Amino acid sequence: MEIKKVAVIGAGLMGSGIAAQVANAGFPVTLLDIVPEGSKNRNVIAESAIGKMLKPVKLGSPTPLMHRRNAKLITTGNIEDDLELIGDADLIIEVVLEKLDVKHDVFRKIDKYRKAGSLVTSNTSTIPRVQLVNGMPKSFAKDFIITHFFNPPRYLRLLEIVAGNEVSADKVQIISDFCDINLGKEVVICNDTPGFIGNRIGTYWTLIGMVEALKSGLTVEEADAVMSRPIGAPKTGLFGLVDVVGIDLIPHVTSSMISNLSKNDPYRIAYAEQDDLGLSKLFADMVDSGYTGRKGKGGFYRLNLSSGSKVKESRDLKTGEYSKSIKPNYLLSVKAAKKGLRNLVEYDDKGGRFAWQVLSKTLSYAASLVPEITQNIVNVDIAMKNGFLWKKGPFEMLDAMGPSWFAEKLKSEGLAVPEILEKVGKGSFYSENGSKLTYLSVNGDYKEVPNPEGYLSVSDISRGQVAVFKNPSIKLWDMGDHILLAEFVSKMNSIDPLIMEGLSEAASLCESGKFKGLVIGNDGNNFSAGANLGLASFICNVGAWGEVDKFVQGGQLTFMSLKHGSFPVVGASSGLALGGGCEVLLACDRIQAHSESYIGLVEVGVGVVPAWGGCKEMIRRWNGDLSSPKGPMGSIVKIFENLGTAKVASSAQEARDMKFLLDRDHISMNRSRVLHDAKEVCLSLVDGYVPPDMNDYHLPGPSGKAALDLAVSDLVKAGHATPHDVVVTDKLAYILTGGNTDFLDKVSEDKLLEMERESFVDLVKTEATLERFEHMLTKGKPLRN
Amino acid sequence: MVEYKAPKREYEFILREVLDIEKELAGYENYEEATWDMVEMVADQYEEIAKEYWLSSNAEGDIIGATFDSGKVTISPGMKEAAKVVIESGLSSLFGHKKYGGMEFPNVINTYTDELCCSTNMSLGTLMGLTKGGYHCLHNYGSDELKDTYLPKFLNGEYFATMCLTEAHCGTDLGLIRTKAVPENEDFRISGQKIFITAGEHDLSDNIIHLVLAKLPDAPPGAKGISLFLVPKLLVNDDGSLGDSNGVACVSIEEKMGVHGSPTCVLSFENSLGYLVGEPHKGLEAMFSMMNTERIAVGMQGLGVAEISYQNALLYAKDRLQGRDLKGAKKPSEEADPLLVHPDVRRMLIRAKALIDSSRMLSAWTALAIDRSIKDPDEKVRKENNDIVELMTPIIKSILTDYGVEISSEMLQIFGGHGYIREYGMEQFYRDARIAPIWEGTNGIQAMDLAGRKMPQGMGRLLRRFFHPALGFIEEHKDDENLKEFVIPFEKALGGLQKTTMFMAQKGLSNPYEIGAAASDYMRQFGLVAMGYMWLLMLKTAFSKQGEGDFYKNKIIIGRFFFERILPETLSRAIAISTGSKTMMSLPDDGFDSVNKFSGKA
Repeated sequence: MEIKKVAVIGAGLMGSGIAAQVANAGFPVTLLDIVPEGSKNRNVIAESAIGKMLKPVKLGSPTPLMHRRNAKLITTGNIEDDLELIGDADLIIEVVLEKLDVKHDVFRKIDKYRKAGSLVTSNTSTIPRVQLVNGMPKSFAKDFIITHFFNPPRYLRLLEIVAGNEVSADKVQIISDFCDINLGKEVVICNDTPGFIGNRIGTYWTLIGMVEALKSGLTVEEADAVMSRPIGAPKTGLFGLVDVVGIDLIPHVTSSMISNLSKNDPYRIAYAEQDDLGLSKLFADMVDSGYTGRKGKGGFYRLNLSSGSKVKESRDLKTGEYSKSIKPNYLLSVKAAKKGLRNLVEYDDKGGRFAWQVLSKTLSYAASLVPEITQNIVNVDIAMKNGFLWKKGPFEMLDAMGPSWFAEKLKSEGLAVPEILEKVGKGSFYSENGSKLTYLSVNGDYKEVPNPEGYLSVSDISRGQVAVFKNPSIKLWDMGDHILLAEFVSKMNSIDPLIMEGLSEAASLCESGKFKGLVIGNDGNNFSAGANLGLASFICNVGAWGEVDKFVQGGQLTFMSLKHGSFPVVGASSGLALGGGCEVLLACDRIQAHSESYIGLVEVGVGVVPAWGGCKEMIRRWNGDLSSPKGPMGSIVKIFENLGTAKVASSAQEARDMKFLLDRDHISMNRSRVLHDAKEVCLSLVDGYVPPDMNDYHLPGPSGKAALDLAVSDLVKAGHATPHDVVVTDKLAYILTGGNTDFLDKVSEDKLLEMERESFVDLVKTEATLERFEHMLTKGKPLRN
Repeated sequence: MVEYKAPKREYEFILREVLDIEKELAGYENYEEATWDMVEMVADQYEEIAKEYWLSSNAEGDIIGATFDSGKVTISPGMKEAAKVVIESGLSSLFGHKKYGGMEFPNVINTYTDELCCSTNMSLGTLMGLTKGGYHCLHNYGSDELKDTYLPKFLNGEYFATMCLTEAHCGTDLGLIRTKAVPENEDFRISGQKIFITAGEHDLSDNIIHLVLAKLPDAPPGAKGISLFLVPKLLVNDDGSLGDSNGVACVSIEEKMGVHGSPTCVLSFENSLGYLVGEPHKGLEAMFSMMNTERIAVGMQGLGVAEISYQNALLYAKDRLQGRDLKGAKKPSEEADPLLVHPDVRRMLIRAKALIDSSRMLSAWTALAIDRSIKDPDEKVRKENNDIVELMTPIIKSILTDYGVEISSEMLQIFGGHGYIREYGMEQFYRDARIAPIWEGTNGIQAMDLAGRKMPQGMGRLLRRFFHPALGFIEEHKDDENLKEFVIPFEKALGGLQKTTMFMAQKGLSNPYEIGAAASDYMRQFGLVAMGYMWLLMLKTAFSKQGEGDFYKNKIIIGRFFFERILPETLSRAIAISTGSKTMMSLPDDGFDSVNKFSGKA
């Protein structure tokens, strides 16, 4: 069986998010919800959900849909009139209220209309599967699985699966593969226990964190300053996370959890403790007064707008008063954490003591739950990293502190030591064995960390290996099968002369025949944020124009050697690929893009033009497009718009519209598969590889430039373009229209590169461009001068 | 007997002909009175007082010194008279704002008076200079009430000011200070002990106003917890009359190497009433607001002493007959030729002159930037000039004081043994000059300020204010028949400075030792390149007027010496920097030891 069509029942925040992600994966999906009482439009809930999928949560942030067009894949309806729409669905995902009776009612309806052999899953977060199938026909139970997504489904990668014994392994595999390969999720198989892995440990962490903060009299800012980056958790911290989840929701989750847990489970003990400390009442009071978190008036934090500007305020846990948030810079433990987790928990101040109280309990709890909640420690770490965005999972954190030290400290404080922590002894939970990464199994022996077929990371490739070449900004690795991997390792993977040196080296290694193809990619969050602007800023400020020219021309030559070399190059993009980072991709034969790739030529924002072949490549890409209705000028106008406004594609799918990606380029939905997919593409190109030719183009010349200038002057009049925008876009227009060419002549790629260089050097000599550099580097956003 | 003539023609050349300050300053508010005629008048008058009173009391101040007797400090009678004369002439208030009774002369003109003071009597120069610093600090950060009460008195000489930073256990690292300020009503009670307080106690004025760094009870640790207080020696009554003493006592004064005329005091504050200047915990910011002008003023100490040493060595070299010219007697009728015939003596003198001329130019160029940064109506111009001042301040402080020591030493050398004895006054210059590289932030700290703070500031923005105009000058003049001889070596030296700057910017990111290890060499390299630029500006003017007299022709020769013999020193600095920090950091701490035991091995 193959999943070709999906139905989602329940169009709330999660349901519509899941439906959007299914559509993002290119599958038709039916989205149904109830008919609200007295509503004229019986489909209003599902229909308005689509509207929300296209609207960013806040200005500038991405939407649940990766492309507007994906909305067309979604059919809306209601569960009273339209249940027959699910009749051809291969997978039906239930995402309704977390109430057993409501779910059972929906299941019965689904079961009535679904086709035989279709799979039904529930997105429950806390209700055990046993209870969900209780009273349902056996035929239903055999097709029923829990697929627990995390919010927001487009971005959070964890997916927990709970399948009963009655479900065949094939069916579990079909669902796993669909979620992994098509929806891009990190799939973890869990046992049927309350809260599965993520919520069991994650909500315990927030609960015990709040309890300990109250007990030791910490302010919310102090608690969050510790329970965030210092322990490798997101910067929102504990109380900040509770605000995001919702003050009203938290008590539901916790009470639902404890109702299914045994009496002496630490979770129940923590729950009783928080009740004694008055936390339950605090939450109730906050909800009553409208403080439901970020969706309401605020929560433990709020934004006070009364003074005309946004002032972040924090709630005093004792008095309930709000006052201006104070960043606890005085907590030296937070600074100590930079030298490692153990330095944090051993630091003798209230931050360090708090960190130990919370982590000792949370990590012991997590350690005590294997194999109760899942078969191995690896799943626990994957769940916490992908569901709660921890940098390290609980067992990796224990390894960082030293498991035996941790166990000794527990003992010295009279606390119980979990069995698996006894088993690990003086060793560690993970260990490297040659090129293999192994973990401690519940039996006490080490097993290889399982990697799904098609998963590949640089850390897998490099484990136990020596780099073929390295400098402080780049490393070259042997990927096997005669494919070379170039990994950027500079800060933000920014591009500097050392990266150019490494890429040139990669080109010679491939030209020499030692390797047959090159993949450029990394494990980081971002492919590359662009050229190293800080270095460029210094070079320009001291006026070393010769160096500037060398940096620009050196980059052009390097990229040309990739593009026109006798070997295929594949760019494996993910996250940001901006400016020079984008130009690296444009120099590749193919791009294998993670769906979450944010590609753009943003040079104009810092007062320069793309000069590592970015302009040239865009002309090349758009020129190949015969479908463009307005002839060559039409393409130039499009490029000018995108580059002139420094537009960044908000997804790989959007990058296709801007022709950063072409039809020949592919998208991987799962981040963990990008490198593997890129390597496969590279291998497929090796045989009979013919490098692309240098082209030349008919470009409109001065008359075309005049048209672009006119458009800019309109923007100036409307107040949308600044004086320096005019200077920069003038250069951009000059390049894109081919300089002083006549339409009858052709402009060579070399000529375009030369114009890029000249324009770049002219611009970095201006005060206004250097002001843009400085502003971007010191304030992190573009200067509008 | 020490001789001195004010270098008026030198200033006329720099201020009027090279910098064209009449045009540059025209239209700046409250500068109207500083016409060139007025400047000449003031300059003459200042020279007269400097020679008549300041210089004549310089040796006396050195020999008698400031004396201490049970809490009281007495300044030597000649110096006291000299202070009185300059105050009564009104010339000590040149820098002050009109609102408070000053003459509001441009900073660029004050470089002249600063140099004269430090040439003729550095002790008195520092004694009185501190009041100028106190004035600026209070003017920038004090409340209106404090300003109205104290600023006019600073200008009319009734009150002198001090700066109280250092304590016995901390100097450079001010975050460690222990002096406390306890709130009382709206004011504060200050208690603690300060050391190295120049002019902490004396009999030149009715009252002394101390600007004291102290910590409030709730102060965060380190430099972010320092506040600044104004603490008068005698309390000032509401009607302006002087009241009770305020618990400030001079415990002792230091015995020291030079500047004997100026007392260096240990001050104790006991529950002294203090008024907050600026905001709580932001005292360093307020104190450092006057640092730029203060540090440039210290640079002028180096320059002033170098100039007077040079003048006297030159007189001696022309007068003293020793040995014969290598190419045959110059004065056959005499027993021997004057020292000046000897190439090595000429080398010392011309080197001093080349350094002095460009130091003076650099100070004036930067002082003009201060004026622009304060007075220009265009905010952008003010900001850009402020960048220049920020960048050049550590360079001026450090380079001019280092050369002050070097030149006073070399000029003493020309006297041979007569330089080492007291009679000619040369050894006093050398001793006096030696403090300047130390106070107001040691030159090591200046180097760190330049390399560690000024260089990365605004991702190199401050550097742009120097490099871009310098490159522009090269571009504009590289084909100039006269100037290309100088432009070519300058371009090379500037290129070297670009390279070291980029080297440090790149290496320093990953390894802070690289900045520390390179800082002092970088300072010298940058300073010499900046002086080279100053020479280019001067030479351009000199060439344009070379037919108008020997002054210009001579300038060209002195400038040529700079480009031939001094600017190349930047290359050795660049080479040194490029080797990085590794070697000096690799020697183990006890590897520095001078080993005291015989090994017993062959």
